[in-house]
Amino acid sequence: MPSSAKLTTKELTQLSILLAAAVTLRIIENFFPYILPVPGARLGLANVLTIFVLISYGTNKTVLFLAARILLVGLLSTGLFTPGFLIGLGGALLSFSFMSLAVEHNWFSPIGVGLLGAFMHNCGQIIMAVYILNSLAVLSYLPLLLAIGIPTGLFTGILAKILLKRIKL
Amino acid sequence: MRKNDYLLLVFLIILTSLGYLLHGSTTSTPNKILIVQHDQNILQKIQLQKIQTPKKIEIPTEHGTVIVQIDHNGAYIVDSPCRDKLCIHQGKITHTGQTIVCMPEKVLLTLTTAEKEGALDAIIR
Repeated sequence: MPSSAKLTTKELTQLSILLAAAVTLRIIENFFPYILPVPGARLGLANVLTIFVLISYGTNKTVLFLAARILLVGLLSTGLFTPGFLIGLGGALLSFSFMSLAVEHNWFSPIGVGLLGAFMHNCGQIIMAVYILNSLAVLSYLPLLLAIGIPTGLFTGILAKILLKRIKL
Repeated sequence: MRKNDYLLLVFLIILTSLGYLLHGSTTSTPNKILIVQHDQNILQKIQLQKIQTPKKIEIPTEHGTVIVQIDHNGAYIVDSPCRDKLCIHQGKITHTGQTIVCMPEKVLLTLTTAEKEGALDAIIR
């Protein structure tokens, strides 16, 4: 894992391409909010790229990558600091914190990282929703969200694993 | 997959099942109370039993009006100014413990029972 904090031109270019792909995936997913049985639940395809970047470039550069993605998607799609944006942000922050810990300590394979990421994303979203609505009622969504997070987390993890094998940077 | 991945998978499955067991107790009782909230404020508490004919209630929000259809059995959102319309898609809630959220409009509908709710501070019919 390249660990220097400085971004080389090559890395900047690669990360930009990956960023474009991540933003696109995220926006495409927003067009299809009803794929899964829970309205608004997503596959988390953009997370495939987050896992890929995290494992390939390390935590510091992924912070940059993820922050850019969240800002761009916010600007282009959900709108900045709307409730939907904040909920996504809550999910992303919690999910990223745990995924980066898992990758740095080499706890799991990419598949485990995907599972952990999906799980923490759902928890983070619900925590943020509880905070915004100031009501514990939204906790009732948690079991179903967590149940959906298991197959989608496995799916994104497997895709990330395939990407890591196929793409040699 | 590594051993740790399997451990995580099993752990998550157990955790999710526990969540279902703890929360899964959505029941259908006749004396349901619908709590209508907007932006952290409780607007109305409605005893659904007392609703004879189905009616609509309007919740003014920042972007327009959220319209909720209620009857003696439950409630659903028929119209909302939000972009994704996920709240409409959530359909009707008829069991206590169920909720409908419209996140962009910060509207929350919750079904509960009189027992759980304790003393009502306002009943609007």
